[in-house]
Amino acid sequence: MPILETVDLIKQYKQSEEVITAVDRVNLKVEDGEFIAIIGTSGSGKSTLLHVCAGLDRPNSGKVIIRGQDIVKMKADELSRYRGRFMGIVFQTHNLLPQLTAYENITLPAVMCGIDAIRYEEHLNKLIKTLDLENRLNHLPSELSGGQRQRVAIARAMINRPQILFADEPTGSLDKENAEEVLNLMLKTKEMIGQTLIIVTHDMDIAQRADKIYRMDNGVLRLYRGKEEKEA
Amino acid sequence: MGESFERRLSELKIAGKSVLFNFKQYVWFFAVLFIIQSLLLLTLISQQAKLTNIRSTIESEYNYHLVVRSANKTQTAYIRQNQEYVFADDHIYDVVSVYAYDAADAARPKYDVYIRFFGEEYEMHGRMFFRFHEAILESLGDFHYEYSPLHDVADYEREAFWTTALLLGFVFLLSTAALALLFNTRINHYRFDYGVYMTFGADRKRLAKQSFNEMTAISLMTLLPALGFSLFVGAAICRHADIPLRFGLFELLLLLVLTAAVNYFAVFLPVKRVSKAIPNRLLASADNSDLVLSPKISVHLPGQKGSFAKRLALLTRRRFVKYNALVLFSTVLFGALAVNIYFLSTLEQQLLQKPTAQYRLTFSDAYGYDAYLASPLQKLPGVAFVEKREATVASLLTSHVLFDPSDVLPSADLPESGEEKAAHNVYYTACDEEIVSSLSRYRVEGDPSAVLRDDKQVIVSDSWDNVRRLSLKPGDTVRIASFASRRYNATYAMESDELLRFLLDANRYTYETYTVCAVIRDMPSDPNFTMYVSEDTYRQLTATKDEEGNVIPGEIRYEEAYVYAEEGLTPRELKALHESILRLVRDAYDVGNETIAVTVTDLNADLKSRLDAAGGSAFVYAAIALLTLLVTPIVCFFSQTIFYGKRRQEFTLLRSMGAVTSEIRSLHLIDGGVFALSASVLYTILTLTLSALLFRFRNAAAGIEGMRVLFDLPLSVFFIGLALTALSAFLSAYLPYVSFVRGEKKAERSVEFQ
Repeated sequence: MPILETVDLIKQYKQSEEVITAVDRVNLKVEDGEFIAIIGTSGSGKSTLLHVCAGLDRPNSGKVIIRGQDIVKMKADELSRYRGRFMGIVFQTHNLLPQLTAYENITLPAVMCGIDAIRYEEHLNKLIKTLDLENRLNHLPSELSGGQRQRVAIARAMINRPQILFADEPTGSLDKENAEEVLNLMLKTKEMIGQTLIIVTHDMDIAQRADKIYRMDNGVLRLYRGKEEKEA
Repeated sequence: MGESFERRLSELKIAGKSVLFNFKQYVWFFAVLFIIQSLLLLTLISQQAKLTNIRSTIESEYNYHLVVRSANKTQTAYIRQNQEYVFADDHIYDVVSVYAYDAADAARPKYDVYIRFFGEEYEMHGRMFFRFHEAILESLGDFHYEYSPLHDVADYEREAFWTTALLLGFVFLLSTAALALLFNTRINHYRFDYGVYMTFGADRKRLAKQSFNEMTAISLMTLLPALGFSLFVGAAICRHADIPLRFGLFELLLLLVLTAAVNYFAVFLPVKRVSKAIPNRLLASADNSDLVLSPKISVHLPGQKGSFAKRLALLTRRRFVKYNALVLFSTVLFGALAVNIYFLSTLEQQLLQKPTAQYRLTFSDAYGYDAYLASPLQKLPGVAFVEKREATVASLLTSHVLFDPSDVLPSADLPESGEEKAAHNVYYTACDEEIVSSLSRYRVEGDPSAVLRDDKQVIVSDSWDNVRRLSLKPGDTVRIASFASRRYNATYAMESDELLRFLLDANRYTYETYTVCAVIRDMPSDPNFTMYVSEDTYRQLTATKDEEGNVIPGEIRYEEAYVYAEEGLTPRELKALHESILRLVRDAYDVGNETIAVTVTDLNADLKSRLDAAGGSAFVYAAIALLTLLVTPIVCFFSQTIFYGKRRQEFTLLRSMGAVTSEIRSLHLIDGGVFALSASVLYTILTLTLSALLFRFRNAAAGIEGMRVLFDLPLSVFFIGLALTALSAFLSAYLPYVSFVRGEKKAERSVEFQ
């Protein structure tokens, strides 16, 4: 059973009298432990698709089935809890809490899920070290550079070792070297816990490392390169 | 000129459209400007009515400027003849009426001649009257004269004008502060927008002009509603005070000018401040990040007890300390001011309600107020009581009083004499039954009549300069000093406490101990306080020595007496009382010659009281207090709405990480609870501090002619303010949660567009 499946997913926005279809009957299947990259031009709907799959937005119609459950039918609280337990999200614009330090932002998901520090301490230290945040833990987001904020956001998304990690341009603000390191960390964690990784990206170097690449054009999702082609 | 006006009008129209388009952003400004314009207009209307009422009231009750009393026949004839005197075509005065009364000597009747000076320049004509006729009248015999309130109407109007100006000035400052606070809050929250404007070339002038236009556009839109409201309330005030409402073009123009001034000053400082900021810093403030106090260390959230929501809420409150301090202060300030405005009105009401002397009897050298007059005077219908005053200050007698230090408050700051405290700023006053009876109008603790039975008892008032200085109780003792001899001779040129210290060292004194039988708690006072002693003690204290060294006891002679009228007498009844008093004193003291033994002066206390009360001052104060109080929720909700609006993304983020509705609700509840508690505490401290200062200032400013007022904070108003402050603080944090949940539910409802 795929860990994530969308069935005839539609998401539309109304702007004045015009209706814009950001996600147009998308049928996507992601197997457990897969690394999926979604590429496309700006405004193609890929971020919207990601948000709907993560339950951050409601589709107009269709299904989003995660681990056998249609999350579209879930009530808000149930969905929130589900997200907290099984999903991690890296946003394009970081979305760090401005009043919390880097350390507090990173550990926030664990606090919210009631996980004891002792259970994630080792993983946390590893994340901090890999993301080169050791000297920045007591700083507020306003005191961090764009790249540092991005790394804090990544660490936050990964602290709970989520089964599915959704990442919207996770390496967008990073230089090539850091981007490579971050992706390696994400892939390592993926291997370690059998995580499913779904990334929206412009970067073809990153996309090429995915098991599958999908391309989004005007809301329509098509397979760009399959797993067999990669292996080939 | 025409082009400039058209451009100005066009700018205003654009500003108006912008304001209406973003109505949600500006709704609180509409509310505050409505309040401001109502405040200004209500003050204008009530004070204008009061000013107009002064002249009309006085003119209706008095038709003369001057009364020459106890004139003889010759003087009367002279005055009558010279009313036709024309000097440089000026007709100076008319004799309105002449009242003849029987003198002891039937051959020498006496008259009261009522004179009205002519025209608008009556004051000048009054001076001319005395310049031409006073010397002649004096040569014809003794007389005295008294001006009526009609002569002094300009003084009454002047005083009322300055009171109006002061009140209007205060309301203006209050209005400017309220709008400036709101505007400053707006600038603080929209720093990012201002950062963008400044990045693309907007300077201070442009920013100020844009803001001023917006405020002006809003003021024009709220003008009619404010006008309607104020005229409605103003009419009610005037109807209650039975005076006509006055509102015309002048008042409207003045309102427009004042409103424009309020708008100008309210936007000027905040815009100046933001225009000096570095644009980059403003641009970085889109998510409130610049309001956060940077911590030195991180908090290990999981390690603390309690739910995550509680931990996060309390931490957030601590970290946003800059914002929290400002919104806290803004929330409590106007509530505290409102209570104190109302408190001030109760203090003024206390002053209005205190009995004040209506007539003063002044006795010439050979005579004094005594039992002969006292008995019939007190029995006159309309007389509440008579107060006689005869006092000598201790310093003039080279005397002083010693107190136990525990009976003296720190504010007294008295010099020490051994282990005791010394004061010589005390009036020794002889006391008899009549005086004891007249003390009943004060708050007296103890048995004042004991001073009549025992020469070793005294009554003491506990304040000077209208501030409580002594903590005496009945039963305490004091020691009164009498000069004995000098230790050494010296000349000195000191005053007050410094002088007393010198005299304590330079002189020897004998002391007698007295027991305090009563303490007066609210007696008005100048720099001296009063000590009532028995008549024998007074004679003893004021005794002198002749050349042979024989002791001559002092005299008790009352040179003045003050008549207090009963409450509720009409002007007609007061006039009748005045005539009764005149008749009585003339009968009592008519010595059959030209000497005037007693002059009776009408102090017009009742008129002053009526004029002060007209215009519904108490009501106006209450209206100002209420409108000021309403600024509290406006400022609080305005600031919090924007603050939580910017944090909405934060709550959405928490949702994405697993937070459920109850946790989001807890965040808001805890935040609201902490805010409400902090606001309540700060409000209480601020209100009580301001009240104490106001009370101290009002008492000190009252002076001897004013009355000592009691600290009586209106508790009901205090608690209303407290409830409103706490509720505003709580709801301003909780209602954004309701809005957030509503927004989520709206987003959840799928729209079938396909």
